[in-house]
Amino acid sequence: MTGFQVVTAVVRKEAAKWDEFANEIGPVRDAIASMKLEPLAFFVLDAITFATIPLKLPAPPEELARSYEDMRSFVERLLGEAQAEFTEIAGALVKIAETYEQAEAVIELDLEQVY
Amino acid sequence: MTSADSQYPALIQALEEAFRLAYEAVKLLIDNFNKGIHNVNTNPLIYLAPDMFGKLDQGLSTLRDWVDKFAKATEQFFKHQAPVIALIKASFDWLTQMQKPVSDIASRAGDFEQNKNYGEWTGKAATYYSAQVVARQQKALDALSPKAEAISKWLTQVAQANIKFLNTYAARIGDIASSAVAALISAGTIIGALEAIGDAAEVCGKLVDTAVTVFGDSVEYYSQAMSFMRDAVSTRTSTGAFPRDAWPQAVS
Repeated sequence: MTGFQVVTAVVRKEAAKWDEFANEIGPVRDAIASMKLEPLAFFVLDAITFATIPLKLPAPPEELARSYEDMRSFVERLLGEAQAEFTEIAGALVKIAETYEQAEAVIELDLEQVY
Repeated sequence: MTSADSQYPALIQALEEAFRLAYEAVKLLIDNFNKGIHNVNTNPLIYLAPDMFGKLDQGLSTLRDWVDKFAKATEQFFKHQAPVIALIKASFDWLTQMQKPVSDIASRAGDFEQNKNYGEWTGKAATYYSAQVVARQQKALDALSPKAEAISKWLTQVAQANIKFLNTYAARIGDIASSAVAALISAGTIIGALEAIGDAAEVCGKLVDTAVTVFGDSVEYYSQAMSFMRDAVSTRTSTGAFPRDAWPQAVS
């Protein structure tokens, strides 16, 4: 095995790693997408019952629900971007490997011409 | 098995138990109130004291209003049962479905052990790859899994605030039902009945007036969860792992 073959194998193996990561992170994003929670989930007291039992919470449950949704959608977006990025990294690495192969082929061709 | 695996069913169980206790307490309140009314209505003495009718009627109506309010409030709580269970499930899922797989990827991103000849790859492209691509992705991946942990912990706190509230509520309503309202069942005289009604209504009013103190624990848990979440939202990008609020782009 010549040097360039070792290197392209290394680069292609790195590419496969990122493709694998992209495949693994996809379901994570899907899981987060399904973890929306309705405002009712945040406290058993709601507008109606707060009138009967005035707890004076520092913020209404709706605000908790909004904060959660802020974080959840942010993480969902990050995971989606991560998946796209991993696929792109894999693609870039494959291109690098191909460039090495082409360059090596050109050099070999040149050498043939020389001799 | 992580602690979350065992904590999750325990939390659901604690919540369902709290709902059951709240339901039983308010049922006892209604039952005892009805028994009390029955006692008053079947007491022949009331016919001997017609001048007390007005007061008795007024007192019972006030107490009935309280019983009604607590019954309606409890009924409302139950609309939250399935959503709160979903919240507990989500708190667990953030760990199992996100934290675990993401930290698993993070542990492999910069690991070249599997790529035996990695050291053979040198030059500009190799340097850029390890210093820019891998390093930045690693930083982002490392920053992501603690977020899942934080959100999970926060949701658990929210669930605990609910459990604490329901347990306190059940205990207080249970107390009112079995003492103040129960006194009405055994009242042997009209004066005694009037006193029992007055006492019961007073205890109900007091529970509402002092709600902030009585339910202090749940309010505190709720407040902690609130400030924890505010911090999480405001510092979500402070690590620099996510430039411009986005996943780092090595390839454009």
